Amino acid sequence: MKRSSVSSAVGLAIGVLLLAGCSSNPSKEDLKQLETTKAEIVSLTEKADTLKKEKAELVQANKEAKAKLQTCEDDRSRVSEKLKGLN
Amino acid sequence: MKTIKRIAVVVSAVAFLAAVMQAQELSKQEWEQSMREAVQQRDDLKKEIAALDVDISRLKTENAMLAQQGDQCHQELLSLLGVTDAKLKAFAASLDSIDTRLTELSKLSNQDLYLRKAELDAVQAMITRASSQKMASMEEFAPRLDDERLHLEALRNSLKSVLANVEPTYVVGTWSKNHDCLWNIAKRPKVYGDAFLWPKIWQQNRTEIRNPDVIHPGEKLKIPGKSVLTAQEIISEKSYWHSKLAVASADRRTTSKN
Repeated sequence: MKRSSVSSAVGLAIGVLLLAGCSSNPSKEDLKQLETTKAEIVSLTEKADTLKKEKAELVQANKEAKAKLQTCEDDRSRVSEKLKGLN
Repeated sequence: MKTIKRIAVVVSAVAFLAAVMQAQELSKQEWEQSMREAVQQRDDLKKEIAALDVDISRLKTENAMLAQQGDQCHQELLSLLGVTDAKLKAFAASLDSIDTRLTELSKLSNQDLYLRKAELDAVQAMITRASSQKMASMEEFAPRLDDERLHLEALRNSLKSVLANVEPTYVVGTWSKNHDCLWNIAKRPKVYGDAFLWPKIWQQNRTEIRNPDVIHPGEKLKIPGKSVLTAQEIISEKSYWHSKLAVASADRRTTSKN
């Protein structure tokens, strides 16, 4: 009776250990790959932010240049009209 | 029995440790999930960066074109105006100068503005001169000149209200040096420039001047605004001349008796 109980307990312990040990885990290479991809994401995010900032500046410059050109064209036509009136 | 209990405790402890170890480590499934998400995120970012590169390149080209068109337009405008960039800058500087003078004048108290009223005319002349230039019709300058005109108008209105409250005065000098009498004072260009308006000064200072032939050096006379003589002033003048004639004929009678 005593011997069978001991055997059962040892069997249970071995079973538990086997269950824990044999479940599938990612390898070191897998983990490294994940880390590399995450680092790449950080770097790409920084680059995207820089480009977004550059784009915003260019959009603003574009807006200003268009307004300046419009003003110049308005001035040009106004002065032309004025000169026509003088002639 | 004791041995069985001990074994059970050991087995439980081992099972617990195994469970903890399992919980701390990343399972293959979880790794695969994380990897999928990371790769997706990385690919999205790469696409976003590629799109941004395209946009930036397009914007740079467009801005360069706009700059070129702007330069061309500016040159054509200068040619129409018949001016150079330097003249344009000088014109802008002249408007700055008008702004500065107007700001300075608007900070003055009413009393000081009255003392410097001649400067308003100088600023008016500057605005008129600037407005006559072709450059004045440019969008950069036209609203500024409008503002300056309004500013000057506001100052003139302030001055009007000051003038309505401040009555000019004249301090009588000596006869030997200034030849001051009411007639000569009224004749002065700074007073009326018209000697026949002397009764205005007399009537305005009636409490101090009982006899218009007698004024004293140092006396401060109030000078009312220039206008035609009022009915009261004409009556006073006539009565003055009557009394003078009466005195003269009395003198003549006395002389002839003697």
